[in-house]
Order: sequence, then C-alpha cells, then structure tokens
Amino acid sequence: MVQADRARDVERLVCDYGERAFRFAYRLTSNVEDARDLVQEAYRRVLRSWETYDARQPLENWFFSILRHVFLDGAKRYERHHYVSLHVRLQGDDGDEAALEDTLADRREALLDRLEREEDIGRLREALNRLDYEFRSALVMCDMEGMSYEEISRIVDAPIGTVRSRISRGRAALRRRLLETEEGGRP
Amino acid sequence: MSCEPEDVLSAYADGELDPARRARVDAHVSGCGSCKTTVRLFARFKEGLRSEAAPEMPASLRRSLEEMVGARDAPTGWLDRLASSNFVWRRAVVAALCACAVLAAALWRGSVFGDVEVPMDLVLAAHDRYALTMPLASQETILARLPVGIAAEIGN
Repeated sequence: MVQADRARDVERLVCDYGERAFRFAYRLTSNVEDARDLVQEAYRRVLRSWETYDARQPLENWFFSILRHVFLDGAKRYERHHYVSLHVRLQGDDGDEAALEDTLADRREALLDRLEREEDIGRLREALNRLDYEFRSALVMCDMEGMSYEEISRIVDAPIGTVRSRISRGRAALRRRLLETEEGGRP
Repeated sequence: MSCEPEDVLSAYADGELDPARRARVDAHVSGCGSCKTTVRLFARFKEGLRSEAAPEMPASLRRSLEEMVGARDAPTGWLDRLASSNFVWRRAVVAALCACAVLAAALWRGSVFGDVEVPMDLVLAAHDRYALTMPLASQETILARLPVGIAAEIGN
C-alpha cells in the first residue's frame, strides 16, 4: 500500500506538477532554457532524495522547496544572464530606502499612473530580474504564483513574519529600481 | 495618526492581515494619501507581475521528465513489470494465463496427450516460459505451441 502510494506520488510529480514547475522556473529565470535546466535539476534532486520525503507532508511543498533551492544554488549561473551581482545582499536592496523615498515620494504617483496605464509593465519585469534572489523568489511565489504567506512559509521553511518582511522589502526594492531607472540613473 | 509600517501595508495589499488589523489599516489608508499610494502601487506590482504569461512546458522536457521518473520507479521483477504495465499488456497476459490454466486442466485429464501423464510442475514451467516470452500472443498461438513447450520441459 505504501509502495503504491509512493509510486502514485512519483507519477504526480510530472502529471500534476510538471507544468507548474516549469512556469515557476520560467518566472524565476525569465528564460526558457534556464527554466528547463532548473526543472530537470530539481527533478533529479527530488528523485535522489526521494527516500527522505516525509509522506505526511504535502508533496507539493517539498517539491517546490527543492525547486527554489536549486534556483538559489544556481544563482551564479543565472547572474550571467541577468547581470545581477552576487555581492548584492538582502540589505543591499533596501539600503537608503528611506532617504530615497523622501526625495522621490511625489514620483510614486507618476509611477503608479504609468503602471495603471500598463506603460511600465515590461520595466517591472526587468526590475524584478535585477532583485536579490531571495526577494525575487518571494515575489514570484506571492505575486506571480498567487501563494499565500503560509504556503510560502512552508516552502522556504521560515516564519510567516520573515516571509512578510521579504515580500515587503522586495516590493520596496522593486519600487526603488523603477524610480531609479525612470530617472536614468543606476539600473 | 502615524503611518502604518510598509510591511503592514504590503500584507494589507495581499489580504494577509487579520480582520482587526485590517480594519485599523482600512481606517488609516482612507485618510492618508501616502499610505494609499503605497498600497495601490504594491497592488499594481502584483497585478502587473501576475499578468505575465509563461510559455507552456516544452514537449521534449515533459518526455525527459517522464523518462527520468519512469527510470527511478522502474520495477525489476516480471511480476512488478506486469503490475505496472499498461492495460493492454495486462489484459493480454491475463488472457494467456487463463488459456494456460484451461489447457493445464485438460492435460491433467489426458485429453491432449492421451495416456501420457504430464506433471503439473512441468505444465507450470512451460506456462511461465510462455507468459514471459510471448505475453501478447493470441490464445490460439499459445494453445498450439504449449505442447511443444511442455515437450521441451520434459526434455530438460
């Protein structure tokens, strides 16, 4: 019975999660080839560590947790495509945020107007690609995949407060990058 | 009234606040232009990112994953292979097994070989050989060739 359940779980990995895994990987990497590599490596790791899977936990959480880890581990390779420095750490994306907000507060309205007219949607994606990997994966899970904080918390194995903080800081960093590029300043 | 922290406004935009906190933020945001802009901006980020279409998974990747998963879960014994094989396979093998069982009963009564008595273990050995080597064979083929197989078992 247990063997049959396991076999069914393995089958579900492709049937139920394959498409979603690829979409998630694509949204993380913004590139079909990288997404393909990411998904294949994630499946390899899942199958290699299959015996460690606790069947009492949702298969989905375990699987997407591994997929996200593969993405973070492979950050160096993705850096080549997206020109993101590995030296940019979490605090580097929201440093000087308050000062910037003070000087650009009135420009947020203009940015919002353009986003509402869908003029800056492409730049929004570009800005996301330039975020720190932790922030990017948090926004991909929340905004693009529509996961709840609780689901994300299980996948990243962190408290909900941490998830909330990462999402908020990711959005602040996104805003900062959009405002900076709008100014013609640093990308 | 002091403004709400940004992580609270962000969680508010996601609908992730408990009802009491949400009501407080509702009251504040309705009278604070700055916080309202932040909430609208974050909500717009969410909508904009959500609207990005992702391509479908390439068929070659799906095949590759199916092969990978299939290899991981590949059964090793013939019983496992039979249990995990598709419906047509299973039906053909079951039909062959039934035919063999009927034939074995007939042989036991001496209706095929006349006076020759064939031990049941030889019949079963022949049956096993055919089940493994020609599982998709028709019932007629098995019936026609089984005596030859049994003769071979006797020869062994």
